[in-house]
Amino acid sequence: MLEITDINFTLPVLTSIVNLKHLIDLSPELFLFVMLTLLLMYCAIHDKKNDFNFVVRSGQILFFIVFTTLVLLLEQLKDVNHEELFSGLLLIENCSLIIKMFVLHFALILMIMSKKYIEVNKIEHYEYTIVLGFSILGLLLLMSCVDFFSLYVSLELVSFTLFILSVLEKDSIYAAEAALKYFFTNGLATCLYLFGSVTIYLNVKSLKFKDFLLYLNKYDIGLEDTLNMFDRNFLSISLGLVLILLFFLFKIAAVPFHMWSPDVYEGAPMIVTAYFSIIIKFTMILLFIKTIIFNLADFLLFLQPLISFLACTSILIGSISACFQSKIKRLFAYSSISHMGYILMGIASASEEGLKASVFYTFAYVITNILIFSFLLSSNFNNKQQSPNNINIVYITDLRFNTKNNVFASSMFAIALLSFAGIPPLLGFFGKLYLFSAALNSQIYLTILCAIIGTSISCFYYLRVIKIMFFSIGLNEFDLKTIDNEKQGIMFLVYLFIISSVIYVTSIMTSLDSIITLLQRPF
Amino acid sequence: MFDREYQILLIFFFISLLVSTALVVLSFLLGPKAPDREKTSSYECGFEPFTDARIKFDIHFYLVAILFIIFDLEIVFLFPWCSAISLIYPQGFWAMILFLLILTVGFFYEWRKGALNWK
Repeated sequence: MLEITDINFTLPVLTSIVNLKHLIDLSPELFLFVMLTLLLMYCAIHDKKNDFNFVVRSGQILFFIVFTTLVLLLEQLKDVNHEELFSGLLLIENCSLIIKMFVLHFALILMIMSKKYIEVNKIEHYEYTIVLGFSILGLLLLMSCVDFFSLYVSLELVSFTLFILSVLEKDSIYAAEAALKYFFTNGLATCLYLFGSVTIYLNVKSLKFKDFLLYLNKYDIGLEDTLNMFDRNFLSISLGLVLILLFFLFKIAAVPFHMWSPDVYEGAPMIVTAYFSIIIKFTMILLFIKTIIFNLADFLLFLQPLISFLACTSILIGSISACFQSKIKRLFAYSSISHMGYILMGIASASEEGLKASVFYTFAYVITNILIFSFLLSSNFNNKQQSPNNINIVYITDLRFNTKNNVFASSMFAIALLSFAGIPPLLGFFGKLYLFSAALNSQIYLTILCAIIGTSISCFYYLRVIKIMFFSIGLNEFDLKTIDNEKQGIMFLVYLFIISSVIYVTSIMTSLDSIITLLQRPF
Repeated sequence: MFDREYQILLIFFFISLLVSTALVVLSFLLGPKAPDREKTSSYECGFEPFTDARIKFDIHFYLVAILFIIFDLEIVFLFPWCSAISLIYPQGFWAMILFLLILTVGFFYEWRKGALNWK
């Protein structure tokens, strides 16, 4: 029974909220924020109506802003002083800084990739640049959160920018549908999150992760307590945690909550789809894993049946639905759902090995996605007669063309698809190898069986794309010669990374060891 | 959460659900139904319907309403700030100034975008 006197109204001492030291610790985010505000003013003053060159120019400015943020972040990484900011809302620690560094790198790569697309598709709204910048700011803040409240605020910053980005082509009905669906489903997910954190607050009387862990230790709730399942504290705590878990499943689009993902992928322009599947997926999965290790570590065995069931359904539904897709973006949306299933399988292993394998698989998935999307972003029809309305490729069959046209790019694309399918010497294979061995050690055989079935089904649709690309009678309607040098460079680097994975895989796994240890108890 | 007060709430919830369902279902089942063309068409003071029920209106109304809400909410933040200004530290003062600055940037943007012009 909750009474008013139970709640400690502990107002934070205002004098300790802001001090100059904290502002220095938060310098990358603050710099990004101030520069974005100035960029917004600059764009608003110099706005030329319907000029995509202006968007390209503001994109270049954003590139330098993000680059400087990265430099500031690297400067911070040299000397991490593990400090709580703003009375415990944010925590600056090594692991989150490393993840932020990766996010900024991926953002820079994405901006290089999308320059040509903006020119070709004549995206005329400079808001794209600014909203993208604020989205990156939100992702940076997200990684430092150690409080359910600051996590909520940062997540909202990210979500709102994503709603706007997904409706960038505002005349398209697909975009309107996508943005509305995304808005409503994510609103629902946010409700779940808020209810979950309220339930936790009722017990813990604090929203900080630190206090939550202390509470668990004090009342000895956790693994040993599963016998005491009908204990009131245990029930409400696990209700809250499961609700927050569901919220994260929404964000990474795992199966019962995946319905928004294909529509949003389809409705959004290709640069935004790339942003979704490279940066947002990356951050959300790592945030998920980080939050799990922070808060749910003791609960993981208790949640194992739930997560492994979700992993099974994600893998099976994702790969079976992907077989029936005729549009290329929907294909990759469903394939990403099945990849989320594999990552959940690693989490369901409930061991350090499994979490490590999940993190590795995330990296493999995201890096391969960079190649995939730089190929798709540079693929557009050459002449307007072939497709009067849309110069971008929409259907998988649009990919059919003579390999003569650009053998190099298309074979790199094919290698990326094979890596997704998990063909041995490539990066994706090692990701799956570690996941399967972790799952085998945790003896979740049924999930492994589903994953094996899913992998074999997924081979079908990846190979079908390759077959369409190389072995059908082409019409030469594709203009891949316009592929720009930067994108070719990115594709080639990723390609080298994928095919040479045998050499460095073990060293990556050892370095992941130290990251996981860093993650475990940051307080 | 499994305490007495919440049980009462649960019982209340089910009873209200039951009553409202019963009202709808009973009137649906027992009420006399003899539809004809006049009854099923939409009622507009005895006239034939003039236009479609959904009318298009200028997006500007919507925009102005949204902008109004934003500045209205700002007032909601400003009033407690004013009344508590002797209690809060300089940080509290500067936090509000920062908030107003950010809001001004947004206002500047919407002004430059022409959201305030009524064509």
